[in-house]
Amino acid sequence: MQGSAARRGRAESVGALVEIRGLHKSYWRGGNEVPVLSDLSLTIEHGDFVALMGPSGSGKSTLLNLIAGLDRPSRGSLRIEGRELAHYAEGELDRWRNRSIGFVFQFYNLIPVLSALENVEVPLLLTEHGATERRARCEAALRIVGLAHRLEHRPSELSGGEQQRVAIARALVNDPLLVLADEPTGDLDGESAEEVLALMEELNSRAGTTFVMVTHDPRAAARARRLVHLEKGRLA
Amino acid sequence: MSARRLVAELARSLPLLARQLRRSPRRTALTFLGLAIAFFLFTSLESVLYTMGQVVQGTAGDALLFMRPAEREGHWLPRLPARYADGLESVPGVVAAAPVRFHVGAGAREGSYAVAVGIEPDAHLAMGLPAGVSGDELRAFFAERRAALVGERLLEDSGWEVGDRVTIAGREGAGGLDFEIVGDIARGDRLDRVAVVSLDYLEDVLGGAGRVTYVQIRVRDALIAPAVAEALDARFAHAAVATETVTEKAHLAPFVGGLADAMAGLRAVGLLALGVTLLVVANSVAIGVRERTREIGTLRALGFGRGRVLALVMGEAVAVAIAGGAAGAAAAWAVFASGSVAIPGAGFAFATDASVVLRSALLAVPLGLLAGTPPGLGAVRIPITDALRHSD
Repeated sequence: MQGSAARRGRAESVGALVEIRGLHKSYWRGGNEVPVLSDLSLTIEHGDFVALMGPSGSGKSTLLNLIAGLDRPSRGSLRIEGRELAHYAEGELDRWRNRSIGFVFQFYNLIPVLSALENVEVPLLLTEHGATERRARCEAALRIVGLAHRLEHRPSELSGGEQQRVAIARALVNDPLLVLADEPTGDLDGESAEEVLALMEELNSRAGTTFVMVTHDPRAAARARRLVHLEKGRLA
Repeated sequence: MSARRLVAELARSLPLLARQLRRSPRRTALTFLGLAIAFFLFTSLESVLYTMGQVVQGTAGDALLFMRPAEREGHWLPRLPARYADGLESVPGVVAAAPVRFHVGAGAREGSYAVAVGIEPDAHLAMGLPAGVSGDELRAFFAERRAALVGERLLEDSGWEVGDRVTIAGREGAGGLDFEIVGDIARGDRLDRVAVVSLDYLEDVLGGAGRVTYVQIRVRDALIAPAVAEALDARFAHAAVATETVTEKAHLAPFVGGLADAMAGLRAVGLLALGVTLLVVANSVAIGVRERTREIGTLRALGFGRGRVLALVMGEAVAVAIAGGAAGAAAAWAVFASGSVAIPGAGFAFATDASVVLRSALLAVPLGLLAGTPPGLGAVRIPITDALRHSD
């Protein structure tokens, strides 16, 4: 992994990491347009740690999916490092997501038949790194999350907190611009949630990793540098 | 993407693919088993068809003619006067002629057949010696009236050995045919599944002297065989038993043709079995894909494009199809290469060939691709966000 130096280098070379202007997203259900996000504008800087909060249906996860390029906005502009995501073709978007975005999901989304090390390696399978370098990167990522002793364990052999830490290692292994976390503590007990949040906080403060986290949990939100409230698809 | 990079990427993804196959060992094992059985059946049928083709092809250039009664009803019964063979050497193009009588008795196993062929030794052996028969064995055959030269396959099937005195039991209460085995006919000879005895002796035991099943005729050249056959039939056109003289290919045609018709039906059954197996594999892969919809969503989120996910799903189907197909085809190879599959009295064993086995096994690739395509396309059509929300 290139580490914080590379991330700081990027931060110095460009302006805001994420610039959202006049973003709209709506879905069609039963012939009716259902707006989810309306005229939303938001800027996220390099090294930020943003918590997106709001009631269910407020559009938090939709916004996260749009930032990740998993979904396309209906209208408006969404730029990451100055590049409009809507201009990417699907294949380019896949490659960009692989190299630029790390994901942490509520239910970890690890592949049960793979070991912790192999799970972390999955995003690297799409890169040109050789086997030795891939392994070194995965070991380093797992060391950062405190699981150097659990390399060969499968998800079923790990606790919920450990599984989420493997997911964080997977999110970090490609040295992404941005880590998107959707309810990362939603499935964890209090102690494990605390460990995961502390890890994210440390990665943000020490390594400069940029996090955008969707959460319902006020304790989780309190660990973020910035709190963004959404209500009915708008910033509250 | 360059071919080299694509290969490298596929190689990197192989462990992932292999692990997915081990996710549900029972399902994978049952799919593998179904494939192996279907490919065994298909390869076996293809091997039988291959053998039939070889038999027909092998007789095509042969300078042998078979004179038999024109009336084809009961064509294995001795109805042709043996004396028809006399003087045939005077017909232009004929080198030698010998009467032959078939006797079908009971085989060693219940329901099986054992075939004895009665010949006039001097006349018949003038057309060529059976393979593997030594001078001493031939002398013993000529010297002893009850002697027999027995094909290696019949020896093996019956548990006999050279030097044994044995009996081919009559069928349906008929009397048996005793003889002493004085020599063996090598495997691969047209007579390797029969016992060759003296025609005189056979007639003494079975009665019906003077009547044979057919007269075997060797002509100077295969090219003139049809013209010679016509001349021979013309010779007996007004005799008590009119003749029909045919090449060996035509002689075997009813048998080969009948079997080929049956085999064509069986080939359809084999293809149907492969078709059903295709559906089984497709269903198995589809279940696997449905079970891990969220994982597929995760892979897509991590940057695996539609093509890569499709390749992974199809790769699973192709991998299990190749494994099952290769196992089934290899099992059929083992059975057919041993030469143990035969119809008693047919005069040949079913065989196979590497090309037949390889061709059958290679069908596993398109089968796997076809089976993997619908679930693969289904997997990549789900929007990533929906796949990520999918509950297990």
